Amino acid sequence: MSDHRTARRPRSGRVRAFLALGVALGIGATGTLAAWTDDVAISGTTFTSGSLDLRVNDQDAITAYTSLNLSNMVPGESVAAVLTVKNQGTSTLKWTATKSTTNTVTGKDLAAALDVKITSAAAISGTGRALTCGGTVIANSATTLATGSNTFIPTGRTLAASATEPICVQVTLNANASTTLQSAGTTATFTFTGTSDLS
Amino acid sequence: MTRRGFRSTAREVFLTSGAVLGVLCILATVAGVAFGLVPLVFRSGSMSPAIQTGDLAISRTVPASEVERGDVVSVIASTGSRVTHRVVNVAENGEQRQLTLKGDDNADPDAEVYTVTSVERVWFSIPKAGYVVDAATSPAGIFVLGLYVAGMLVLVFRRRPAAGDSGPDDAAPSGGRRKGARSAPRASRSTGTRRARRVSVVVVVTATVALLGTSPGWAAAWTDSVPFNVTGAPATWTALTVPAPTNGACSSQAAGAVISWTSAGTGYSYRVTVTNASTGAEVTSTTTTGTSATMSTALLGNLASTNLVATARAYPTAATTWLSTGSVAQNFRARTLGLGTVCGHL
Repeated sequence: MSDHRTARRPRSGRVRAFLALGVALGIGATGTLAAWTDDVAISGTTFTSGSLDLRVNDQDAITAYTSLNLSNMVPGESVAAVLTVKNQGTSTLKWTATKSTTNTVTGKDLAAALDVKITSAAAISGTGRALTCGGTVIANSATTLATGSNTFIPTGRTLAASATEPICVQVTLNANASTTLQSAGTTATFTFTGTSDLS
Repeated sequence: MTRRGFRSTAREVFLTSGAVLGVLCILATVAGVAFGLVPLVFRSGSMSPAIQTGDLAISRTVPASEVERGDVVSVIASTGSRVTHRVVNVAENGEQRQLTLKGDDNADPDAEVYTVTSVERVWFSIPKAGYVVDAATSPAGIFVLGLYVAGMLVLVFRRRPAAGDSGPDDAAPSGGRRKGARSAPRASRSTGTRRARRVSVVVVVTATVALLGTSPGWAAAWTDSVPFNVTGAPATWTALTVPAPTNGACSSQAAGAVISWTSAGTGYSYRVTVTNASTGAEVTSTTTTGTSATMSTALLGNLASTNLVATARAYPTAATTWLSTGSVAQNFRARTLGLGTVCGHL
């Protein structure tokens, strides 16, 4: 029977060629299955090797920073300090910063009366209890230390590997602060976050 | 080995290995769909050395309740990018879990705490395979893949070669070499072959055009990075507690009662408020940078005989509203019209 001869001819490769199409299925599925799980539109792909290491004042964590402190403030007094943000890693990153403030005296919202100004100045101005920041105010940056918002520097700022960026932070007790705020206190923690700048 | 024999062997090896790979891919794809496997390509090295840049991880979607500390899971951050890091803390919240993640190579956990009901848990990873996926899904890779598919389609649909012939070049279009007079099937097969060839051409052209037009965004879920914190210590601001003047005294002088006190310190001024001792109503007030104030007729005007109280409070010269809570108070009185003031009450 001629059918037998047909069946005995595996070397035609038809079946194998068909099976070999599975490679395309596999590769296609890897791409598309994964794509379904990702909402991000990706244009162009870059692989980034190396590490990501954001530092402030060349440290990974600052536990005893005092240059921004000011005790016994009266309305109108201000303090300022320059922080240096550095990309210690090997790839470009974007950094943002948040704040968390706490009033230390119950019933006295000093934080709401503490105005903040963040600029790109590399040095502070003024003397004594009237230190200020000159330069351009950083876009969208915070203007108050009021609790309830963690906004500090919300818009990502690009920093190339090994690059540094100075920021000047000025804290002022508002000139119209109420006399009821006497003896009040506020503490703040700033958190700087670096994210690798992909896609 | 003849040239034809060599080509034949090469074709055999190519076909057989293609078929084996193909079967593996089909099985892997079926298994992937059946078990909810998600491939993840690592674009950065935050999980090194366990998983490095360019590795391909195979992950499985699991309910958040199954996640344990130490698992490597993939979540979508609020920024929209995908983060694949190790779980360092799990907080329970009904069906949801709040995951704190940290890249093995990162100094700190991610700033964001991810609230999830299900996550992709990494099962295993294949070193460098991410680069292969990247290459295969690039326009050039897709073009090559299209050619490969088209070639295989041609092999599948081409005319079956005669017995003993194995080279593709032997697929003579005449079909006359077949033994036996099976003219009817042969005719039908021949028509089928032509159709298949036409289809193949269309497939190749279409695939080429379509796939070349595919954007490089046809990509696996690139794993993003690595938030980490630099935390400033609590910076502290305190508002002044305005100190009170002390040691209040009253001295009766020709010009009237003189109220005096001890300085609260440099930089302070004083506000002296005069009130009616019986009604508490404010009569007048005055400020001074010194440490005394004279209760003169010029200040008080001509008052009938009245018991009065002078209260002095300090304030920072720069902030006139910030009066001290503490004060010194001295009693004095206005004498009858025009006779000024004197210490003490009647």
